[in-house]
Amino acid sequence: MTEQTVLRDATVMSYSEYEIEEYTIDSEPYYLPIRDEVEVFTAAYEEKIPVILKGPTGCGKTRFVEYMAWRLGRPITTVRPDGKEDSHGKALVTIAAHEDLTASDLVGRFLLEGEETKWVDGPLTRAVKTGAICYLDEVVEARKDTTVLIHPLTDHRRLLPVEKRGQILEAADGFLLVISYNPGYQSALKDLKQSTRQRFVAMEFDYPPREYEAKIVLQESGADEDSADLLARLGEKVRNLKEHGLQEGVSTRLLIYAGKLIARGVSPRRACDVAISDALTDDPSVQRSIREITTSIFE
Amino acid sequence: MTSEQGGTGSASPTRDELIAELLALPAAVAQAYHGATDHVEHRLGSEEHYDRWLAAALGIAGASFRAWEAAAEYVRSSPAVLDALERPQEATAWYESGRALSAHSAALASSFFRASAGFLERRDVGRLPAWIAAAETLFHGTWKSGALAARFFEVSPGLLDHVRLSDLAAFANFLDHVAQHSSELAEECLTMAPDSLPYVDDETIDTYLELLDETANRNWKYAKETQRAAAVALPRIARPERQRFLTFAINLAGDGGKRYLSFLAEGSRAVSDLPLHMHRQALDDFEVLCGLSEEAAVEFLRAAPHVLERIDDDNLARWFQEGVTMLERNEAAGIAFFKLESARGEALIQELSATVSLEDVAPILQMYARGLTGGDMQLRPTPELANRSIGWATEDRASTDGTNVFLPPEIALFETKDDNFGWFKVLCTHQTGHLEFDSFTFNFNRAGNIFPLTRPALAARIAEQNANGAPRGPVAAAPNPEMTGVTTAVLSDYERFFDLFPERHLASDLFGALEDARVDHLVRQHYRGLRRAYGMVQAAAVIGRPAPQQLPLRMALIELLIRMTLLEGDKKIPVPQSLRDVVERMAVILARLRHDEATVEDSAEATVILYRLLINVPNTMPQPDLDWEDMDLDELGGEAAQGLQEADSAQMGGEDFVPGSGTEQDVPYQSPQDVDYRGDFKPELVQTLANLRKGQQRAEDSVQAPPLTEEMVRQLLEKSAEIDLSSVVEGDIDDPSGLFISSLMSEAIEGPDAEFNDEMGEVGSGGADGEESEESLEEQEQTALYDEWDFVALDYKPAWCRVRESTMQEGSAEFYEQTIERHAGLINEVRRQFEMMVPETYRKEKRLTDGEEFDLDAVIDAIVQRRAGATPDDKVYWRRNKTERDVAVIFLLDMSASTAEAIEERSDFDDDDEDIPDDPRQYLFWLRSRREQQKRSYLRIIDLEKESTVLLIRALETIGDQYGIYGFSGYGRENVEFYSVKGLEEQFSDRVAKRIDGITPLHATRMGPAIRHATAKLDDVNAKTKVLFLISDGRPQDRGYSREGAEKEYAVHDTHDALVQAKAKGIIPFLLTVDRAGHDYMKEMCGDLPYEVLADIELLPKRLPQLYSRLTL
Repeated sequence: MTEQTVLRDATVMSYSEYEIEEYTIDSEPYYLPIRDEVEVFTAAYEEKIPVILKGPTGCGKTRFVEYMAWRLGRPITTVRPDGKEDSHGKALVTIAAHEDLTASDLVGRFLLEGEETKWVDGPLTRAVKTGAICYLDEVVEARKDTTVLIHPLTDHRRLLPVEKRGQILEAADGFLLVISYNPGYQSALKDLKQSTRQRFVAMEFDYPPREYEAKIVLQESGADEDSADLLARLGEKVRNLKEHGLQEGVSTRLLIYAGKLIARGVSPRRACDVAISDALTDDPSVQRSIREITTSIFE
Repeated sequence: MTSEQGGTGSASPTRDELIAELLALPAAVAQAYHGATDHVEHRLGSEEHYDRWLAAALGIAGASFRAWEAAAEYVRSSPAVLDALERPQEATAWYESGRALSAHSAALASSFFRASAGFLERRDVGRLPAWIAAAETLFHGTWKSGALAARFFEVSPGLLDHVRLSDLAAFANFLDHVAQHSSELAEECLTMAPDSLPYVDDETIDTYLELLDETANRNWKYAKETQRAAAVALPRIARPERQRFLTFAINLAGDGGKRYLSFLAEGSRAVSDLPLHMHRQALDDFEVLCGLSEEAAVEFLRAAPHVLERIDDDNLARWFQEGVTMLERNEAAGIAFFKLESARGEALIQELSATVSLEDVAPILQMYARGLTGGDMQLRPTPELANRSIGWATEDRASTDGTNVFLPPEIALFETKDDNFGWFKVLCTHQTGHLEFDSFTFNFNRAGNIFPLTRPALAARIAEQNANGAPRGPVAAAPNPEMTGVTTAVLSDYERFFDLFPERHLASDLFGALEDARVDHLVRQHYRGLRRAYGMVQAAAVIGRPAPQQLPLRMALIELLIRMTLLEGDKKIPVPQSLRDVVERMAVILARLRHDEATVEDSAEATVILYRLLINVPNTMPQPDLDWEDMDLDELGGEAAQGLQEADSAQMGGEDFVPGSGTEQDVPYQSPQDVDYRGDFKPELVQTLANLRKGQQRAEDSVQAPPLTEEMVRQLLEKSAEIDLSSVVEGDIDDPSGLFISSLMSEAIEGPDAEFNDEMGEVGSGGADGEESEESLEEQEQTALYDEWDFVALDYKPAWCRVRESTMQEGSAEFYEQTIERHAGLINEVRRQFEMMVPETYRKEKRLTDGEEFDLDAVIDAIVQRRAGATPDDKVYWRRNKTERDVAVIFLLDMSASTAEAIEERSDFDDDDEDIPDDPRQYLFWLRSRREQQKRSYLRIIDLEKESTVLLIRALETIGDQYGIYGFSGYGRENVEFYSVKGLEEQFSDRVAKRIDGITPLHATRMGPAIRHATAKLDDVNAKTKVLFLISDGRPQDRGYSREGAEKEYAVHDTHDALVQAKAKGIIPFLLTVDRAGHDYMKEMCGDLPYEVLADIELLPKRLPQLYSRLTL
């Protein structure tokens, strides 16, 4: 790509805006199944069983949900007037949970409009109404009173009480609640309550084995095969440092970033510095240790 | 004169008359005459001269009363003197001088004659008067001065080898000067002269004499010390620098003190520790410093050798310049710098030094190694492994015990830090390679990926042969020949493997080399980034290896194998052409082993193949007809040679394992020289250890344990090639193998980590210190080093104080219970107070301008107001605020001796109505019990500290704050004692209650390091609020916790600095003192940090919780 085209691209930059419940994934996201997760998830979906995805950050939980949304939605294929087929994924509503996430944030709230209040549905309500997959990311970050809200939704009732309006919503057919959390760095304080926990089937994710990860890095980053292999090896070694200076091992995502930088011509060692050692930690001695591993692996 | 006149005046007496006259003198003269006459006559040649000689003797004898003694001496010494003279005629001048002298003092003249030969051997006769004059300066007619002058004659000729006569005269002057005060001292000085003067050359002598003079002038008593010091000092200094060195001493002597003496002694010692070529530079620098600060100059000399051990000559100059700059800015700082007591100086040396010490890089390398191996292994210094006496002996070579990696304490091989670190990294990677690539999981029966499995079949064959009593050749004294046919219990798969080989050492060496080669290959494959460094290290490893041409044959082949494992590509090795096929075979096997899929079992199979190959090569000294020729490695292991596949590896059997029938010329086999970077590889030992441990575990799980007996270990010890018992155990221990076995067994029980639980590098900010681990036997004591602030130098003294942390000894729980009983009311009150401190978890905050949602009531109000035309309040939101109490606190109790002081009586014990017993025995008993009661009847400061602690514990347990209680005391900077009553992370327990009772007054109060240590502890925990609460009874003081001229301020400043540092780390320091006089220094010590001086000590238990709650809210 030449510089001009970049500039031209920049000037005509456009963006897409979706209603939250209308966002679908329309092209196949790359996902490399490690075990039987696709089959298990499909079965759970069919049976309307909510799913917890457990696993460290950047190991592919979100990508998996995206992939499943696409895969499960594929039957809804429309034929466009020009004869081409358009395959839609399922609508995927992603909500990142955080400390201050309140029930109102999920269900909806009254807003002021003129001199009147107007009810606005929250994302969870919308997903319930449209039958989308609702993906509640890092759910333990949310306050406990918030998590309780999803209880009626996640058992046989599949109901969402909208207290403030005095309503109860019954979930549309395709609705599925998927939550994710990372058991690794949560303190005991932030553990999931048993009453919440036991409403889900849990699927454990971990960083892919080296050979798989190399493929993923290769595919996602555009780096050469050799670099992808070495990055996967580096990932494996750095993950050994978990609990020995690192809270978390390096994520596949970061390895891919490193791969992308390498593909762009950044020297491998430098790419690993910025994407891995410096990104992972602020502790200079840990950075140095990771750097030593990097310099051992990369020329 | 008189006698001569007499002699010439009358007619010359005949010779016989002369002789008769002489013999008439006391017998000693006659005796001397008989002994000397022949030689003298012969030397003098002419009658005339001889007669004159005889006449001279008589002349001398007549010079004064008792002059006959001098005459006897004259006669006696004549032969030697005449020998020393070129021409006999010159003798006249000699005895003329002597006669003149004997007129003064016969004794002096005797000495003169006796010493003359020595003098005349060195100087000609014309110089005699000068010499005599020098001696005469010492002679003042008294008996003592005479003796001194006589001694001078005796000693001085020898000195003339080194000094000029004029210098000797000057020296005599000095002696005379001393003699005016004490002739004994002068004589001692004279006696010592031969020790120092030889080191004084012509240029230096003036200065030397000046020094003597100068110091004698100032204080004559030092005369001897000066000489002695100079005698010691001068030989240490490079010759050209001696004069300058003495000049410095003269300058230092200016103050009349003894400083110059210590300079002579220590300065010279310091200089002598420097290489000769540095003497000039060092003294130049010294001179520069003298202009600025003499103290700094002296310290510089003292420090220079130590600094030079760490940095090179050029960098020393940089270091020096930096010191001068500091000195110019702040004298105290400069002095501290040159004393090596400055953190900045230390940092500079660190920066300039190329040496990399394990202590510094261990945290990094340990994490690196953990990354590579995936275990939670530890990185430890090698001496630690050697100290465990379980088979490793060398203290400087890397190794691993299968769990942990051991590296040498420092590397200073290269000129830059980076290169040295690189070496460390290669060492470390090779060792972790053994772990990562499974050197120690060798399984006897498992097949490798490269070579076919032959071991089990081989073992069976050998067992069969043994059972049949088949001859195993001369070396059948191999493992347990008497146990033929019996399957012995083995401790490890390696033991079983090595048992296959009659020549166990050979097999062990082969396997070591091959396995190292395999690991190196895999490391280089997996860690490409290391290839370059690895290549360098490997190439360097070949240098200095013994030439194979010089070695006995079999050893030469092993040497070649090792070289092949180190080199590659187009590198050449010498190959004996007659054995070329053997070498080629080795190369092929090695090349095949260097495969990405090769396992440790492949190394074992390769060992079998090569063993078979080499066992047939006699270990004879190399014959000249071997025809050595350098060959490319490529060529040797290359494709051409690949054709030589080991088609015969299938032909098995133990027969060919026996060494070929040894010839007369066979040399005993010796293991090859080690390859440094590969360190100590002891697979058998490692696996044994691991198995012992496993067995132990199994035993603990009460599953059937393998029969692990001492006997088995003993057998291993006897046969294993890896254990050299004599080197494992030092000194004379009766039963070295017993020690080895017991260490090994206890190792198996305790596990390798029993002695170092704490990770390196995490003890404190001052740097961890791993040396102490051997003390674990007694009580686990951890030490940490901390800097100390020198407020005069405005710099830290690096790693100055050693804090030794240990757990407080337990006393009885009684104290704890009693206190609770006694203060039940107060405890309840405090607890209530504390409970109020615990915040509500969620609080709804209303009337905010921003928040999570509208407060509908407020909105309605606002709309109403707006409709009414008023300005509405815009605070219409509410929010839930989460407030958590998250406090970590350390209570630091002063346990100094002064806390034993009694505070006013609080006793309800009245002692006026006792019946004092009459019986003396009963009285004694009564007295003792009374004393004990009295002892309990008053309270000490420490008791109140303890009570307060109890109260606090009760209160803190209710609110759930994380807290630790520590006491500190100590003596000197090396021993800052730090006692843990309750660790920060420890739960409260009965043991803690008992430990409170153990708090007792001990020694001094070095607050700074204790605060720093506590700070480090707090820094390690996660809490929003961190408090360091120090309770003391007076100002900080300790031996050496001061500085000249600022005794008290020093400690106060250091403590202040420690508190400020704590504050900088987000910790709230608080000082509570019960010293009523505390106001004067607390202000200075705490600055704007909070503190309180408790006027009434009794209030302590009550006040403490109050203060605490206020601090943490």
